[in-house]
Amino acid sequence: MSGENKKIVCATIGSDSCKRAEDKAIALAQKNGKLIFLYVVDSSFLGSASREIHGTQTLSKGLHNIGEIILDNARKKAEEAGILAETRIAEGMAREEIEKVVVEVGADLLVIGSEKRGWINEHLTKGAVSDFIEGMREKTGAEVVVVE
Amino acid sequence: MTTKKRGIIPLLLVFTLLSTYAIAEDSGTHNITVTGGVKDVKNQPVGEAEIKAYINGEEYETKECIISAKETGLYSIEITDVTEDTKILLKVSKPCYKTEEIKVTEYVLEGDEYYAFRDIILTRKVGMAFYISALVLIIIYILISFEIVHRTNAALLGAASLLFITYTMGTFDGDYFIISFEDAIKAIDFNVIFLLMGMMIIVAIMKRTGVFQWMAYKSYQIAKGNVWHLCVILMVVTAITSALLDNVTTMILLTPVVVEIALVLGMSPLPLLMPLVLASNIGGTATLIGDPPNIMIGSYAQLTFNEFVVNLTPVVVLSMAALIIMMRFQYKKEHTAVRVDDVDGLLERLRSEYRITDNTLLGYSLAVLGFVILLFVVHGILHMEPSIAALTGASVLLLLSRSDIVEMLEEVEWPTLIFFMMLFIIVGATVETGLIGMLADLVSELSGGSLVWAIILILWVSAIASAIVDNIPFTATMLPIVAYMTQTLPGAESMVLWWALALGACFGGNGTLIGASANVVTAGISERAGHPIRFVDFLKVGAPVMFVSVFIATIYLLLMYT
Repeated sequence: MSGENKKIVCATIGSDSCKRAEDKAIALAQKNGKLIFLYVVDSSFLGSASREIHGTQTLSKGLHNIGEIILDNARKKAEEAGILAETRIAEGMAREEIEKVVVEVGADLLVIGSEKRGWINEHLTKGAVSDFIEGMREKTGAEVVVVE
Repeated sequence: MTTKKRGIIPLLLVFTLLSTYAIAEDSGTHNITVTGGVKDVKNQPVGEAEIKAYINGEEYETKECIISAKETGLYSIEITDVTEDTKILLKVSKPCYKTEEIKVTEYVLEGDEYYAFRDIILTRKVGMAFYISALVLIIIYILISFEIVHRTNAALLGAASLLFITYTMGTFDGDYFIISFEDAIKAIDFNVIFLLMGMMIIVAIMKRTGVFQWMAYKSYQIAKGNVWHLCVILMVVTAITSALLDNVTTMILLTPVVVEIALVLGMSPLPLLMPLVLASNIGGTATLIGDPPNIMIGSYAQLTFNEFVVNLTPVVVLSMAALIIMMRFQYKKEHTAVRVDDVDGLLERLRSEYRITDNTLLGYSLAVLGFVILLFVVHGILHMEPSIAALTGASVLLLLSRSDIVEMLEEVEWPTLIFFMMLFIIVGATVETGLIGMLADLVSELSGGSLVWAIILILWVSAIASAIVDNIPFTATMLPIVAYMTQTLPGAESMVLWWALALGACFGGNGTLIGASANVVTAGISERAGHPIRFVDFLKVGAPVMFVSVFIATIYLLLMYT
């Protein structure tokens, strides 16, 4: 990376690996960059049927509040490191929303966390992370950094 | 037949037409009514068996096809022009049963009529219909358990294929006749469907008031920053809410607030969420409406709301006490490690975020819910199906809330309702083909005719099975099995086996992460907050709770009912 003012998007859900990704993004931003922390309210785990049934609205309000806390913590961490970070909350499928925000802000770099999944999950989800990186690079032109 | 006799036949026919009885002593011929019941080897009536009479080897033509009555298995066939030498043979057939041939040789004269009373015992035939229904049931279980397709899609596929085979291959070869369309419709328990639908509408309207989240905020207020107290209060609140409303909705609404509290307090949400979801599954066991298995059991066995409360609440209270003690040991470190410096700050935050959004609607909702529960309490006296109470409440609340009917009805869990309907058809088919009867025999044999062993067997098998597979299809399969055992096992008339099934199917949900939908939903929300609940994490905490609660249930049932 050159020393120009880079736009960095860090997508986080506050997990251990995401916290490490936040640290990495802060460190990168310290070199001369603009940092945006992103939380995506994604209730897709409920399944299409359940989302309609139990009301996305009710759940998304709760997840929205959770996202605010997670982003607030990340922002405070950045502040302590002397970085004025922006925070954003998007709603929808995580992958699509991250992509949208990266394009919208014209980010040069996307920093995400990825949990170590153990031997079985590694094999089951083989290629999922590399697919994500490839896809994101292709569609947005941004560099992707994955922190485990 | 003599010429003289032949000559009086037209007269006799006229006479027969004018009166239902006809004794032709003079001619030597008479009319006979052959009647009786068609039963299976367990002495249960077999309806819709086709009965054909053969007179001296020739098929006797009747105006209408003679079919045994659906509910009672009774049949009656009137045969005219019978002499002492006439040989009457009945051929009784029904898909999935062996065809029986019965000679009618003994008649009695009652009044002016001749009668022959013959009960017919049909034995099951393990044929293609049996194998197909068994295969479909197994495939459905696999599809649902491994989430290969959506459970509603799996059940739809199963029910449709059974009916399709019946009305294609079954039309040409009776061996492939699995279940008639009429029987398939009859197998659907609409009391369960309407009860679920009514309660879904009530909950959909109630949750708009924000009352569930407000309860979590109030719990924090009462706990005054003490995390352990907060955990206990939330467990009790969740258990009571889950007993009256569905567990999944309860957890979807409470979990985000609890996660938020945990994140603000700087602790992992798991020490709060795990006790909560376990309490939800235990609490839901207490009432007829608390959990889908209970709704199904109550409707099938005609058990009232009060019977559920009287028989299950003591076990639920004991299990809740055990859960609270276990959670104290499990999470003592995490609960005491949290130092809450700014109780009022978080309280203020929660107060502003989770307030009652519509006081009028909440008033209506609580009044209607109270009325519905009152109807549940008296539904046994009124001989009212519980679904009527739920439907009444739902319709009144819809009216009072002035909600957009289309919007509200969109919140009804239609896929689940369709899943139930299709599942009832699949299980109905397995009852028709004799698979369920065979399983019931197997369970009876395993219990050795002992009520104690039957209770233990049903309770533990239900619990372990429900921890692994969806407890709704499992309960649907077990209903006719338990019904048969309740009828045949001495001492089971106390309905104890139904309580064993309810306790097993509901408590089993705590065994694994996939044991109950509420677990999966809670884990999903927690993951979105960066704190995933992994399968092993859940197993470590949930499985011991399941074993302890099922153990309590075993002791309770054996002490109270044997």
